[in-house]
Amino acid sequence: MNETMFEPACAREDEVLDMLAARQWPGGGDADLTTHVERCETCRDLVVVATALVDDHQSAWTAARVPPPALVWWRAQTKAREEAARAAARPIAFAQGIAAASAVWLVVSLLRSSHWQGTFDWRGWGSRVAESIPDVHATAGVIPGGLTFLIVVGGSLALAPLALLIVVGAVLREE
Amino acid sequence: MRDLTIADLERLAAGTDASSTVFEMDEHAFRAFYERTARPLWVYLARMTGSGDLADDLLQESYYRFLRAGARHEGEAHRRHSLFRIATNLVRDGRRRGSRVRLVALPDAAAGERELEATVDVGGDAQRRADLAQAMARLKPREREMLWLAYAQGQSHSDIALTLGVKTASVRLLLFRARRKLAGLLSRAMPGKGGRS
Repeated sequence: MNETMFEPACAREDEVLDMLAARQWPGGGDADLTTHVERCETCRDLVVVATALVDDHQSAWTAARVPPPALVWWRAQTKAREEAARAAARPIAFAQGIAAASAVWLVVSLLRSSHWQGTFDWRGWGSRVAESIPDVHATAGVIPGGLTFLIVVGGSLALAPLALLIVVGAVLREE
Repeated sequence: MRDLTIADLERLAAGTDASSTVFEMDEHAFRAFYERTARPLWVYLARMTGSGDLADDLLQESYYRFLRAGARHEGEAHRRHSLFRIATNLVRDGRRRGSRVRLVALPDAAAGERELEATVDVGGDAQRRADLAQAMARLKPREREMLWLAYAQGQSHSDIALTLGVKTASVRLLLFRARRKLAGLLSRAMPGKGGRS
């Protein structure tokens, strides 16, 4: 059967459906409609299906126990806030990744610059790292104590995401 | 979904004032909308998933997604269609992922399952509902959804089209076919109850 060619199989379907919806079937319809339903396969199907579904709906409706609206509202709010916090934490996680990568890079540079052979010169390692890193080289040359400088930079890099996380958490709690 | 506890109530009371700006819909409007839609939605979910517990979870998730979407609705009917559409998609997603959606919702099926039956069950009502559940389980999900919305909830073809995301023109034909199929299954399950022989 082509969808566009489809016509209602029986013109009295709506009439039967109205009787069923009003729970006036069987018995509520006139003799003409009752006779029609007995003879019309489409309307018989409609009666069987609609009666079963209406009865089942009524049974489920009676048994349904829905939670109070305040609880549903509160759970939705809580979930929304948790999702917002997760979304806010995503850039922080990204920054932490950058910090970790930087730290690894720093350590590798340190090891390479010190020519690690079991006799590590702790006093001069900061300067040598600075020398091995082209970007930091000029700064290390200007600032006395390359070690202090590197510790401060590295520490800030590692702690910044944590500080950001604390601030965002505080803001969300206030909201 | 667990029941409401005293701790929940305390947190509820503490959190209500501070949380009024998370969604576009305010709590008062939500409560009114919820009162009108929660029960039919729960019944729909329970019958489409075959599980009262799953219906509880999906009810919460449906309202959450509805609120989070923050869509502007032209009226109550539009708002209601959006909610039922979200719920329908959740059921379909669950089915695709093979979650706990059961196709056969036998009354009195599993221990601990919420009792879906009315408190007074006379004669063969339970058997008839079991036959219906088994027959519904043999239909395609969209056929089940369509038949339920049309005959259990009395929605019009255009309402069904909006809820299920199909063309209104297609609903009549699809509904006719689904109805014929279900009537055939029911008649075989319940001979002598009318329908096709």
